[in-house]
Amino acid sequence: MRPKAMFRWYLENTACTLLILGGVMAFIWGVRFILHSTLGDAVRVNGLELSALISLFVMGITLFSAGLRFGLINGVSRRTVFTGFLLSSLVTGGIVAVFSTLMMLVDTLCFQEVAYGSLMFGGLIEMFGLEIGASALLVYLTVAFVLYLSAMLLGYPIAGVFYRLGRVGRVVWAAGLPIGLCLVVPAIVSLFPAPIQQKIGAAFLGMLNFLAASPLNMLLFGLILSALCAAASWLLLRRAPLKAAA
Amino acid sequence: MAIELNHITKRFGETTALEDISVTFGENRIYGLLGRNGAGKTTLLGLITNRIFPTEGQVLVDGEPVRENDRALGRIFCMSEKDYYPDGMSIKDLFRWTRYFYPCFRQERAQALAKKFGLELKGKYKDLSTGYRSICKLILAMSSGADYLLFDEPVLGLDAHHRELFYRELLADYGDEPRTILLSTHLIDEVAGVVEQLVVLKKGRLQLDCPTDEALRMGYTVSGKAVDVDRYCQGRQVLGMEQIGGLKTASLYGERQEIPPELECSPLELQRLFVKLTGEETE
Amino acid sequence: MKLDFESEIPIYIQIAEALEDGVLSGGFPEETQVPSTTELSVAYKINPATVLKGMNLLVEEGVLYKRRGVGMFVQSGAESRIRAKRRQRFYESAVAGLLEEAAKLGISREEVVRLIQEGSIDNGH
Repeated sequence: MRPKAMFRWYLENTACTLLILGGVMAFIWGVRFILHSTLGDAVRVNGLELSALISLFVMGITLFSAGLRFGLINGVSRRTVFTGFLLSSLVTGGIVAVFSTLMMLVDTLCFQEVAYGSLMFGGLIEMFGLEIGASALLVYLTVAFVLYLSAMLLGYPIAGVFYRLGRVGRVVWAAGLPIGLCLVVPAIVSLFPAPIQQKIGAAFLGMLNFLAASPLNMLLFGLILSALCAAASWLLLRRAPLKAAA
Repeated sequence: MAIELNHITKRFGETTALEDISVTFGENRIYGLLGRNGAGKTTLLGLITNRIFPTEGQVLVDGEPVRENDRALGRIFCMSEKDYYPDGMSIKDLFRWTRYFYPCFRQERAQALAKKFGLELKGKYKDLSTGYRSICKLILAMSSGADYLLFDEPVLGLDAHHRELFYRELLADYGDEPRTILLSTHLIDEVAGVVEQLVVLKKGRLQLDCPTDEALRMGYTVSGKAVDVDRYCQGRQVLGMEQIGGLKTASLYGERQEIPPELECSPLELQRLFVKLTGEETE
Repeated sequence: MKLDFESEIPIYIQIAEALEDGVLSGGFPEETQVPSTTELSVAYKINPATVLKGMNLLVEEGVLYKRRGVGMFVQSGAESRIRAKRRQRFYESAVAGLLEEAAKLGISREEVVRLIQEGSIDNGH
């Protein structure tokens, strides 16, 4: 009864954003569809999956404190808050993945050439040498689902760290994370001696090759990433005190 | 059927908010949790409702630990002083969600109370004044149907009419369907009649836990010549002393025994009794 | 009636006396029902348990009796019982208190008697 209420809360709170996201995705796809039908191969508009990834990531971020707060206020355990979030991200990721796939389906039915699908769809087909059709769509669906799920689950613990920190820590985390990832880490890596840099590069490439080898590898990677994020989220959540909104 | 706090201690870093508190709230009584601002009342409520975790000790609800316990927590509704409800939520939605989380929520009662208090159900929570935010939270608590109702500064921002209305509605409902109620406040005057048992916190320690009429009887003053007053005060719990010219007045806490004829005895003003109990030690 | 939380008299006794006043004044005739504990607790803004204590006291004194499932009713003969009790109290506290206060102020007994007589004359009875 009460865990259901928590799950429902997550769904209701993502519904509005999902509608907007759906509108944006449909718009992007619609523009490309029209342009391709009229102008042919020359036109590529992309960003379909990227807008979904970003939206879901942001959703994951906002839902951490909002869900925790509302749950605790209404006398629900953190365990229930967490499972509610997990279930709702499965549902949300699923809905967005199905929606993306439907658009690819329309594309497939209308245009037989793969180059006119979304960047990701086309990429998957080329990478794995898939036949355009049901199997390609299935691969797309599952890869999209896992990606979307990971995005949402990635945002959650990032917000979780933010929530648990004090005022100073929050500034450090909010500024430090993007700066760290985009500037500091590459800067440090560039300082390493050449052989080590090469090893790092090789490892990176190795991972990309692993992912490109088979859709199953991609799925595995996505699922492991999701699991790690979920574990991190729980560790941050399980003893989180109730804090008022800043 | 009770909420039990067993040797609860709560520390926030260096500060000790609560020190070895053991107290029971149950048996369908109305309790007053009293203390100055910062005495630890809100912390205590937070520990009961699983919002924060104790450093030491355990909170039990009907014999079960309350920690991360959905079932036990479902029996408790806490009205907080702080605003934790999402700003953007409409009042109607707030009622709806409370109904989902508290299946025993009484919708008709909530609507009737909203009417009595003049709370418009349209509009957003954030647009309400402080007083009406309290009223909204009060109505949710009183309609929740929970076995244990905890109120943290319930009448904050309420005008005199609404404060009266609150106490009357609370008592009317309690009379029909008794439950365990905890009123946490620093306004002793208002709740003295309403609460059956007083639990007083002072700087995180349990100062008092006794029936209200017993506590009220225990405060008294003696006045007279300084030398007579001092003699009487020997070995007794003195809350404070004042001297105007030759007339000395001492406030005492305890049984009134053998008051000598040269001293005048009178009851201690409620407010002063509790200022003395919860405030700084005066000379 | 306003309750005095700072008085020497416990609240439940004040409630009992308020109910007695009601009986004496005719507001609660004998063999009629008095307001319920809930109604009184709401009216006076005090805990129902306190009201109940006061009512139980009156039951002991033969002023009220309980009808199962219905409520509290005024006993027949309650009025005279209350008057008798209050007369006794008048003798014991009011009169004794008057004499004690007079002694404190150094007023003699004859003067007290004279003051009482004059008092009733002044009131034009």
